Amino acid sequence: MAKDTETALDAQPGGDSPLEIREDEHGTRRAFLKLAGAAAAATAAVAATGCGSTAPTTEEFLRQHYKKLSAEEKQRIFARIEEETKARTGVTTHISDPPPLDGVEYAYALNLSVCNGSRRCVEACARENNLPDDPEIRYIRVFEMEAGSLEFEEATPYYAHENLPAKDKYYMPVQCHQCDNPPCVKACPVQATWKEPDGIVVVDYSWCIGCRFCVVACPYFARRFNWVQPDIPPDRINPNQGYLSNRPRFKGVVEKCTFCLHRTRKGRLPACLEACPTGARKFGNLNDPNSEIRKIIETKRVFVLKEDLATLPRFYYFFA
Amino acid sequence: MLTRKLLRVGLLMALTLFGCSPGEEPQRLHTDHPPPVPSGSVAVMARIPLLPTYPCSRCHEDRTPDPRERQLTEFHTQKILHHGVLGGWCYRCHTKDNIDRLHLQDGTLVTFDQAYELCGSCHGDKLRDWKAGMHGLTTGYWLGDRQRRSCPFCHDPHNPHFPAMQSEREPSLPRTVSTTEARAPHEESNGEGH
Repeated sequence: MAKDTETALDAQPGGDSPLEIREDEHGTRRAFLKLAGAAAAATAAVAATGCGSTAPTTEEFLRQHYKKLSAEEKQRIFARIEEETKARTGVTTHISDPPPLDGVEYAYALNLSVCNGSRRCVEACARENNLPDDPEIRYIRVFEMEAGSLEFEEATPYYAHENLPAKDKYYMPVQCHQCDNPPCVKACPVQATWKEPDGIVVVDYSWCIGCRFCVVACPYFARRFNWVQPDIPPDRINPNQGYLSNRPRFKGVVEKCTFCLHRTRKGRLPACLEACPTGARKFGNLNDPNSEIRKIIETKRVFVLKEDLATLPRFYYFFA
Repeated sequence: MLTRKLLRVGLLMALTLFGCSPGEEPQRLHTDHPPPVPSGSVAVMARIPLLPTYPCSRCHEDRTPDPRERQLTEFHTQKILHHGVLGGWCYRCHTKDNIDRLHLQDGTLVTFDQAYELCGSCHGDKLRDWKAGMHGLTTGYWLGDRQRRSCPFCHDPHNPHFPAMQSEREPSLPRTVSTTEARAPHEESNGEGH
């Protein structure tokens, strides 16, 4: 296609540079028509060859946006995904789609005084959310920070110790902050990612076109792109799956932490929280005045990362 | 005159139309709450079933309490007492006359399941945070029943510093970053920044 474009542009009369060609209306139209023709031919060729196993089915290709799907349509889609997973891995999975709970807005808090950087949360998250080891995708990065400093340029997520915590270090796990003003959502050209009423920012992997604008827009580097088809051993697949969270992803789509919405919307605590050996992680409903998360926000000196960007994260840090 | 009137009317209309327009609502957190959803109940996990030698009276019944500080050679030899400046040896916290109970400084007896009250008699700030759910590990349901571990689940009362742990495996490095560079990002190499 790139070669076609160059040929088309080069063929313009007097067209020494692309800029000059654009100024020539007639030339531009001709170039456009040539490009359009080539694109149509390429599409027809791809359709004819079938383009391998990752090509969408007709039903998938013609489906509506998630928000416009009826309950029946959703059930059909979930059943198809379950069948595909069964055929590919031999594992029987169950895909649910729990809706946001009325009156609930989630928030997370992390006590940096007690986090010991053991990365138990990272691995628990990987198992819960069906994250591949090769290529390695992890939603949580734990930074080893210099004591008394919040300077990320002096911090590293690449540490390994026998005895944690290391002297004069503290540890700061960073994951999706589920911003109330999420720049990633604004960046998406096809509305494949959006903020739910309970504050969780979700991605419909079937709608994502893989442009990665959201990955660049996120100031916390919380989104991950599947450069290749993720491969998870069948015995490590979590069969309890959510359509908008840990269902199978595929090459060319973006994914991220969803506060384990397939668990949390059913009332459970997130997997990373339960795996934390030090109890540094706290989660709950911001709208409940008696919740632990509200007490933390009201009584501790909480802070958010990159507050100056006005992303309004739902992920708070504190020392206590 | 007419022009001036028209200008005034125009200005008023402009103010009415645009001046008071709310425009785009500023992003605000947590406004317009529906009624709060209660977050369920908390149960403190029982400690006694996990104590292999409980009840203590099974052995201590026919022994005379010895409050002297000494090296234990017969039983409890693995216990290392490394917990602040303690006087009174075992019987600072365990009860001479009722060995199956602990006691607070005012003499109130508490069970091993209520050990947090004893811890809290010195570490009041931590007890306050723990009771509010801000300290310690809680698992289960944020919307429903959840279980909270009391202090001895994480802190050995005789040696309460949280034990050192080994880190889970290191994240794999991006192809463009060397191990040295990744582990010491503040030390510049080849004169290049990071």
